[in-house]
Amino acid sequence: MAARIGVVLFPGSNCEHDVIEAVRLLGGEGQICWHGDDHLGDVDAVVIPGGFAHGDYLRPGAIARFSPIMGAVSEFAHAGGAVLGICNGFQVLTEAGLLPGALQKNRGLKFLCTTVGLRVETTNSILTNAAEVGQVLRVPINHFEGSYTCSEETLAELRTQDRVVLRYTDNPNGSVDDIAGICNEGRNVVGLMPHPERAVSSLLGSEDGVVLIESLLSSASVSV
Amino acid sequence: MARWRLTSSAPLVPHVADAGDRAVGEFMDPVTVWDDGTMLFSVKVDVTLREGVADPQGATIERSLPHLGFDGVRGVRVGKSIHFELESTDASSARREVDELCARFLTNPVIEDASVTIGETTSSPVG
Repeated sequence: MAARIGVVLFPGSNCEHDVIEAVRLLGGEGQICWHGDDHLGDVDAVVIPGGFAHGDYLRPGAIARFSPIMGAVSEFAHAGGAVLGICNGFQVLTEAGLLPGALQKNRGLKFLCTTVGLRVETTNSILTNAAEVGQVLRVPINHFEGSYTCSEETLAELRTQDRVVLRYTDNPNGSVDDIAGICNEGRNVVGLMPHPERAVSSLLGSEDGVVLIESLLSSASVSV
Repeated sequence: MARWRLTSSAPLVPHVADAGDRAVGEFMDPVTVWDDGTMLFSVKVDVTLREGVADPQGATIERSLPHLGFDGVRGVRVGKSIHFELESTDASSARREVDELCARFLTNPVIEDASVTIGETTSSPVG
C-alpha cells in the first residue's frame, strides 16, 4: 500500500503542494493536515513544509509550535513516526523542541535562492536511508533564516551520535559546521533547510531530491 | 467571563492622551484600576542575541556607520523590544509570570536573552 504522507498546513505555509506533488510522483499519497486540528488522521509520516507559518512573527516557528496540530505531531514523533521539517518546517521543529539548536539569519543577511551541493553524512535517518554516505546532491535552498546554530555541547552530541544528516559542500549561510540537516536521537525526526521536494524532476533542474523523498516514503511504510 | 470590574471610566487599554505631544504607539503608563486588589503592571521586554551569537544585522550597521562619518562605534547589537500590560496580584508573581513568558515564548533561549523591566502603574482599590 502506498505510504500516506500528512503535510501540515499552517496559515502562511507555501510549499505544501510541492511536497504532495513530489510524494505522488514517487508513488506515495499526500494529504493536507490543517494546523488547527488536534489530530493527524491516518498518516504514515508527517512533513512540515516550507513557507512562513503564522507570518514568521516574533521568530520563524515561534507561534506555529503552539498550533493545535503540533501536539499530535509531537506525539507521533515520540511514538517513532517519521517527521520531516523542510525549511520553515525545520525552524518549527527546533522551536517545538523536537530538534535541538536554532536557525538564525543568514551570514551576509541575504535571502538565498539558489541550488547548493549537499553531502550525505549518514544513511541512518528517515531522510537518507536510500542514499549513500558521501553522495553529493544538488538541491535548491530558499531562505533568509537558515544559519544553523547550537551550543558547543549540542554540536558535540550531534557529531558523536552521527546526527548531522546533510552538510553543505559550500556553506551558503554561515551554518555551524556546514550543517544543512540534522536528526533527533531516535533518527525519526529530521529537519533540513534545502527543499528536496523541488528537486524531483529534471524539468525542475535536478532529480537529486528523489532519493531523499524515496527514503521518507520507505520510512513511512515501516514506522508506527 | 470577566473576572474584573472596572471602577472608573478609565479605558482598559492605555490610550494616547495627548496625541499632539506623544507619538502613537509610544509606551505609556496604563491607567486602569480594578476593585479587587489586582494591580496592572507595565512590562517591557528587551530581547537581544546572546553573547557570542553572531549578529549579522548589528555587524552590517556597524560597518555602515563610518561611511556616514560616525567613527568609533563598536559592539552594535540589534534586538527587539516588546511592551505589554499584565494583571497580577503583586510584583513578585508578575515577575514570575513574565520570566516564564520569556522562556517559553518571547525568546528562543538557544540564541536569545531577555532583559525585563516591570513598572507598577496603579494601586487599588480606588473609588
